[in-house]
Amino acid sequence: MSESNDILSPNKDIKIFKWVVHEGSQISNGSILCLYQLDGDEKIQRLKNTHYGTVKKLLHKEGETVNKLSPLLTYIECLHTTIIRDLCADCGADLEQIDIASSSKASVPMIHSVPDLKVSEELAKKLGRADTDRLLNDKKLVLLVDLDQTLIHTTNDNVPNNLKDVYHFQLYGINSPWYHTRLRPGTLTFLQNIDPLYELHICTFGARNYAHMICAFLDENGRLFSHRILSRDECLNATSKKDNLKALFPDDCGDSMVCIIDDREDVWNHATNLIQVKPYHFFQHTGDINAPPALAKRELDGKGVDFNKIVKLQKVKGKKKTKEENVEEKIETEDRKEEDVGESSSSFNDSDQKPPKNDETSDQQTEEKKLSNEDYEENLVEIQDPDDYLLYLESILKLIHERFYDVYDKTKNIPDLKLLIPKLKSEVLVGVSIVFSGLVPNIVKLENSRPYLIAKNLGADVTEGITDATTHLIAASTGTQKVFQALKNKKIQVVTPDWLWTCAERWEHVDEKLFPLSSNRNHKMRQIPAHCSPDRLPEPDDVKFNNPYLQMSDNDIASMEAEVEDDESSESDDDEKGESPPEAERVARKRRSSPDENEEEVKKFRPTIDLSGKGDESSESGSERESGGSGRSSSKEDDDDEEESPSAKFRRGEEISSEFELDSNDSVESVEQPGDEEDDGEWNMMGAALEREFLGYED
Amino acid sequence: MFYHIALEHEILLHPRYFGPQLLDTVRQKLYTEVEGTCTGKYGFVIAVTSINDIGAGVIQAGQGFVVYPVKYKAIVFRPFKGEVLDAVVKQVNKVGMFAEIGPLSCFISHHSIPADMQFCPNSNPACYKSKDEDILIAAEDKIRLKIVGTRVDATGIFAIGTLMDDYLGLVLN
Repeated sequence: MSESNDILSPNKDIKIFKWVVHEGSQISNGSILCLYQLDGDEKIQRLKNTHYGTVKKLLHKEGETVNKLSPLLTYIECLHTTIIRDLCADCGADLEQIDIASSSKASVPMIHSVPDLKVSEELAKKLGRADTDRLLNDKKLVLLVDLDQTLIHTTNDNVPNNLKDVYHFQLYGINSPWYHTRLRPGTLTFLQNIDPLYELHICTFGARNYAHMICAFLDENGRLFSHRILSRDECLNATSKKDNLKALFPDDCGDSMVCIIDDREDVWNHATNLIQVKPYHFFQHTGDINAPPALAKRELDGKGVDFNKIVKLQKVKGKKKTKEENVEEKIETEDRKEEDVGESSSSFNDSDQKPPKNDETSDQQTEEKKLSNEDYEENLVEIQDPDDYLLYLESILKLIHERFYDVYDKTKNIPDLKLLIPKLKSEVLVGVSIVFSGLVPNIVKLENSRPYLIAKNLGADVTEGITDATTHLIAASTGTQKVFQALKNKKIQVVTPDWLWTCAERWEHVDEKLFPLSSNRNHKMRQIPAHCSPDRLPEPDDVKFNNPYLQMSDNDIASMEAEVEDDESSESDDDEKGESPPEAERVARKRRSSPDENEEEVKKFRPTIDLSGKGDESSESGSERESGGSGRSSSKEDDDDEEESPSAKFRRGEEISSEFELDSNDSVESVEQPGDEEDDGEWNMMGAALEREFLGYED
Repeated sequence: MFYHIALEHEILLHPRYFGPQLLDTVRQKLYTEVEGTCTGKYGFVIAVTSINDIGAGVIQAGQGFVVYPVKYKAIVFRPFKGEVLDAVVKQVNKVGMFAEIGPLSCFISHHSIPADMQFCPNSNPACYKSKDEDILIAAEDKIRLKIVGTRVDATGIFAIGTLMDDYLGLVLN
């Protein structure tokens, strides 16, 4: 509203009888301006108006006579800067009926939850600036929070209704599907702690009522997020959240105060102010249920399979329930479960996986029995979830905030988080000089490899061969020339690739002692580079994967997962051949081989099992998890038995046979064995998940 | 504005309801099908007050369904431009505020909120406050507004309101 115009009197001399409008009142098409009389005529007529705007000044008093076509009053034309559903929100004009040219100025949907409400760019900038000033005054930054797999994990599969910390809800009335949501451990504390430093916004691809439902779980009284919820219904682009950013933070420097946490980098077009979060998995079978359709497939590959393992464990467990409980078998399952948890959630870290292998069989036996009995009486089952990523995330965010305001206080210029965040990240491994061994295939240039980019992003120096400056050798396997060379030099720390992944995930220089390279994990380590190589990523699109969970039964999904897994293992084999074909083939064979063959291997590895402190902890948690899962019905498993596809049966057959073996064997030894076997195959999937996690560093 | 008017509606009835309770079913169905709906012409149907006439049912060939023309009287709510109404604030944001007048939702741009009222995003909940802080409008507060424009389509009505006139704004009770 800035242009000032005159409204002229009609084509006759008139005497103003009474003004209907006053200064400051809004006028619109059809509203009456004044009552008037024609000269020499007593009849009172009404003067109607055809303009939209606000009256600025009345130029004549009541009773005065106005010459024809002279100005009656001045008004400010409404520019329709705020539009909702094609109505001007300032003057109420219907913009469908008046000319479109003047209405097209309002184009920025500024309010998260109401995409219909648009404001002009000018106004948006003004509001954006006000926001920026307010944030600076409050010493806050903006944090865009993704929901699925970042703070929560939701499934629409059937899950027991007695899990603790799992919310169950329906979105579309009583006959609609149930959803089950698990909050990532520590989510509520995380939000509480981060709230004073960041203005929190939800940015999710979930539907609007889903997002609001989840928000109600996270933030009961609407204090943290208020109305700042952006859901799929408001997203401007089906596959990217980036487009909305411009609208939400229209100020020139508005988005320089925005920090993003999300488990996927691609939806933000690999923005540099994104902190990629380790995806949170809790429910098997389910990836991100709200992944954009075009991207859903890849999601399924890693995560779906990842879950499949937990499912298998549960199936095994269910079966045992029906076949009378065998304590030893149960422990074995438990062990595997622990491994599974260790792998999927604690940083793919070998030392985390190993603890369950501690020989505490007797303790576990008693504990196990106790728990399984209690299990039937207890209604709420608490599941131990070792995911502690939010603690690291919190410290990362605090660091960013601190650094931002350090710079701002000194210079009074607003630093750009898009630059500040990568800079902070590049300080993590400053002074570290890394050499890779067995990580980057020979045919790939070091500078193009993913490990190289990850290390560089963290600020480490990477060299081709070992030099005087080298501080770390990251080796996938022992026995390479570089490893021998490094072992001779006391200054050089030899670590597994997991060390690097963990540093990248936590943004801190992790203690190298946790990731020692040992010869017997040879075969596992070899598989990491295969999954981290970028060429494996784009996979042929398969239509049926696009939205599988909606129409498919559990059995369908199980067989589908089996296909994916087969697919993946064969693919990764191929990749491996690039580096060392005979080795890769051996590994591949082993992966599919019978348990008997593997046992030798396993026994060989056993002595090196790490007995670090984490062992006790996670075996405990495992047993609690066990009790959580054991409530599951066994009837479902029976169904699966009958209808499952051959490939799924095959995979499960493997396990079953290994269990049978267990009974005849020394319990401790055999407990390990299937775990390790599974572990082997699972590295495959782990790698896929890992690959995606670090995907962004590449592009 | 509320009106008490005569309306007509056709009820499609499944043959399974044919029996002594037939007319009751038709009445029941009318209530569920009509109350709470919105037509562009008459506005929101708030309540059916009386059912005046249930016409002769016509059996649909090939289906067995019967169509009953029903004449009834109902209270309808039809908002008009220039009308002054009491509303409940639902959401307050930097661009303005959303309010509800029963089934009608309404938006008030911050240009249409008196200039001495400032948006305060930091207070919890967010609100519009006058400078001397004696008037505060936040979510769930009652306000009186004037409708300056309506968007009427086949299934609903949306309104634009203003607080820029005498005796508009927060309603204290």
